[in-house]
Amino acid sequence: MAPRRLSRDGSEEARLVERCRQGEVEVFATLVEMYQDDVYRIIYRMIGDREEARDLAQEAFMRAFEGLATFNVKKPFRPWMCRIAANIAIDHLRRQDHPNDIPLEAVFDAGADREPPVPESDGPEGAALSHEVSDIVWRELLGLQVNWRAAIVLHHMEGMSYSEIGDILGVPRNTAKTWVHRAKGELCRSLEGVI
Amino acid sequence: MKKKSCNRAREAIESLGDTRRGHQGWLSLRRHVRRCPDCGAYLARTESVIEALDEIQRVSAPDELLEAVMDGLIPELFYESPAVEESSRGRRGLLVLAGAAGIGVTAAVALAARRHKVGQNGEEELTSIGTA
Repeated sequence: MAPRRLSRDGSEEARLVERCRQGEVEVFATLVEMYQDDVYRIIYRMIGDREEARDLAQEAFMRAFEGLATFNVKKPFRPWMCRIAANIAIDHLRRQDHPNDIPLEAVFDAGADREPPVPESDGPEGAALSHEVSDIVWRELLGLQVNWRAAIVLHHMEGMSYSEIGDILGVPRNTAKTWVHRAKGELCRSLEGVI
Repeated sequence: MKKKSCNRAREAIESLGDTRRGHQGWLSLRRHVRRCPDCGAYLARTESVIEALDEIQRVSAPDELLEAVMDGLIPELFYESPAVEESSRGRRGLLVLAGAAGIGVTAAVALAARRHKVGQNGEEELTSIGTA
């Protein structure tokens, strides 16, 4: 199924939200279609487990639906939706007894469903190194403490500003920035000896 | 001990991916890392981390997510349905009970009438026997 185009100014989303509020429930499917990749990606990369990510993404959309009445249609829908997704993932990680346990499935599946671009000149050795680096980074990312992980996922993968991350995580902008830098530092350290 | 230029280079490397560096800033960083293997390795590692993180963006939602969300929403929205069904089921139950009670009463009345008739016949029979 081809993903629907997101409207640049958010007016399409605002119209859909209004229709949902008026009882056209099936219209919510369009919003899910538009944002399911964003929501699933945020959660999966923070949780590292496909099944859980799917269930939590579903929960995020249910929570969004319940919250449509309070959504301000003058504001963009995406940050609001991403905030719900991130908060659900963070709550889930905080509830876990051992948040730093890394499901192996996450590490190896992460490698299975992506096709890292390998420069042709790199040859087989370059490709092997690229895979090794990717696997180390995934493993280290999933082992980071929850706040750092959330911060780097939202910043580097979702392109959110430090202020937006601060809003989501409930910390000042500079704290969010520090967390992103520390997370990146940890990931870099994991590559010492490899690169 | 790190030199001041190394500290500046590290700051610049750590902010990679945050802001676009100006051409001059980028050139001066490149010049520094050519002379400093430590900072060069740090830059290479940071670039690899950012590349690896970029790769993560390729993940897509599973096909069944949309269906799962809507399946979860629709019963909730028509939450009245089971209650309505429940109440109509209750009404049906009452009707069945009333019907059964009606049949019971009818049967009882019929039985009583028959007994009465039998009783009368009996008396008549007794009378006829007595008379005979």
